[in-house]
Amino acid sequence: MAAVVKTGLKPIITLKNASTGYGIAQALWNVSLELYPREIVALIGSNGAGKTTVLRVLSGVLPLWNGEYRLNEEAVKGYTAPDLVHKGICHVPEGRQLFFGLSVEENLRMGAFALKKSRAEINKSLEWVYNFFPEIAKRRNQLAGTLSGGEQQMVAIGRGLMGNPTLLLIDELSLGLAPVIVDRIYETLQKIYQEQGITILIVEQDMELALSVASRAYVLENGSISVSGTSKELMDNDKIREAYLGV
Amino acid sequence: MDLQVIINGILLGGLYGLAAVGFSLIWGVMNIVDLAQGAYLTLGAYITFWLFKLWGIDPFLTLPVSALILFGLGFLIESQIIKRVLRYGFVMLLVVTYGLNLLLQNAMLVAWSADYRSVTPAYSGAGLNIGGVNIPYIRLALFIAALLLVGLLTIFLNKTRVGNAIRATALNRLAANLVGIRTEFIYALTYSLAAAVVGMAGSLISMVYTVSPNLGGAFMTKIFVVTVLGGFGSLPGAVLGGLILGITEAFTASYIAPGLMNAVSFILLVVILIFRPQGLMGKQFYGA
Ligand SMILES: Nc1ncnc2c1ncn2[C@@H]1O[C@H](COP(=O)(O)OP(=O)(O)OP(=O)(O)O)[C@@H](O)[C@H]1O
Ligand SMILES: [Mg+2]
Repeated sequence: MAAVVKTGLKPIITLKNASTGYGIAQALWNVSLELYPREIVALIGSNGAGKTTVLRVLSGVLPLWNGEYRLNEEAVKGYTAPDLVHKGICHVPEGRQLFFGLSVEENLRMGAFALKKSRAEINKSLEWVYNFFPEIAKRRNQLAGTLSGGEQQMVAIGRGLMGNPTLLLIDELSLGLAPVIVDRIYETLQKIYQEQGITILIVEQDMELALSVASRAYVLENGSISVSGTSKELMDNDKIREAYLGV
Repeated sequence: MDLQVIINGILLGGLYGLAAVGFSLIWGVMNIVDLAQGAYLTLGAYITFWLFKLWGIDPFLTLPVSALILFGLGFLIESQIIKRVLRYGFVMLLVVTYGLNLLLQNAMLVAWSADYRSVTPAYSGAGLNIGGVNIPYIRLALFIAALLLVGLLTIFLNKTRVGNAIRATALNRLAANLVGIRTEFIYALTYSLAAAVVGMAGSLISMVYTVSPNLGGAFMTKIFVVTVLGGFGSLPGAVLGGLILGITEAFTASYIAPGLMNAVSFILLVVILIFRPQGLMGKQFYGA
């Protein structure tokens, strides 16, 4: 099933027949996907399907073996993760990966490292993030390693937002969090998405959750994309319902 | 207790602290136990010796030269050797830095022989006498210089953009990379900086110890004890560890037996490790 192309808009991200892996172990085979401005897209799949690997490619942590990666129609070649942060791609990694020994606020400030903004500008961004996540504003001087899981995830997303992204990649936001917290964070992300008009790619194992947040989705199976389409299409797809929703 | 013994220990301890700072930094940031630090220290001492001997340059003025040369050497070694070995892990790095140490030490032996040399500026005999306690000017100056250098490095790490990047890289390399820090460069920089600092420590040490290719080897055990005492990755910890080791050594030498100095230091080390494994000033989550 072909992905739904928003007519008139050019994709900000294009992966075409992308293959890559770790050492000699291949993890992705001919993955193609497109991300357009102002949309929330989900990447779904079971354990080991290659979801994190796709995000690593997009954020420049992992180079491609084969295929193309284009950013705003320009080939991304020889770029490292720092280069892509400069270009507005921020990756909120699996397991949050906070700087545990730094305070909440220091973690957030580090998110703006690439931008070389003035202190006043960074303070403005900080207030902007705190505004969305008042829970962590209260704990700005607490060490990140001592936060609860939900608070850590808010700091991780906040740190990503501090990089002023045009594309935000979020890996398994819901992992290990109570459903109320997950809902609360996704509601906030919807607000941010509407306010900023950014593109968000979310990785989730829970298909129902992912499809309720995203407008489109790609399904990864064993390192290849097996199905893609609008959330509604996937919801109505019997094979998918059977495989991922158990109904 | 004899005040003189404590003063001697403190003055020496400052130098120990400075000598350990680079080792501690490399351990904290790169997770490498860098056994080549001893050779860098020796090299710094020789640089001061030769500049003093050949051109009569004041030993304190040779510090920037030591720093510069060792920074360059450190950069070369990190980018050409260490970087390539990083992915093979901790043990392989021990082997490689041990080998580097041997190589440099033997090169110095071939180049400059095993002769003991000393740096003796005109002011090296003078001292201060307060109430029966004797403080040699040079030891006082070395102590102050050591504290100043550690202080500068601490400010650099905590207050500058690059310093923040080094601390972030120490805590989580992947996350540092994802926020746009070029961690490969940070590794090279950290290693070079550490080599420069231990080189300067060597320069200072050459004024109170005889210089030979073995100088750094003798200091390596002290550096290790100081780092673990203070908590690796912590600069104030290195200074505190240095002071404690200096006092312990001076005390052992005067009241027990000079030959037991190292034994007592290691007992102290074991005791600290039992009661405070992260070291005296090791911070939460650092080096985890
Ligand atoms: N650092 C690595 N080194 C070697 N192989 C890896 C590495 N990371 C992932 N892989 C392999 O690549 C494949 C895809 O892994 P990936 O982490 O992308 O899956 P995932 O869909 O994110 O899974 P999960 O839902 O469990 O996070 C797996 O077979 C995995 O074993
Ligand atoms: Mg994953």
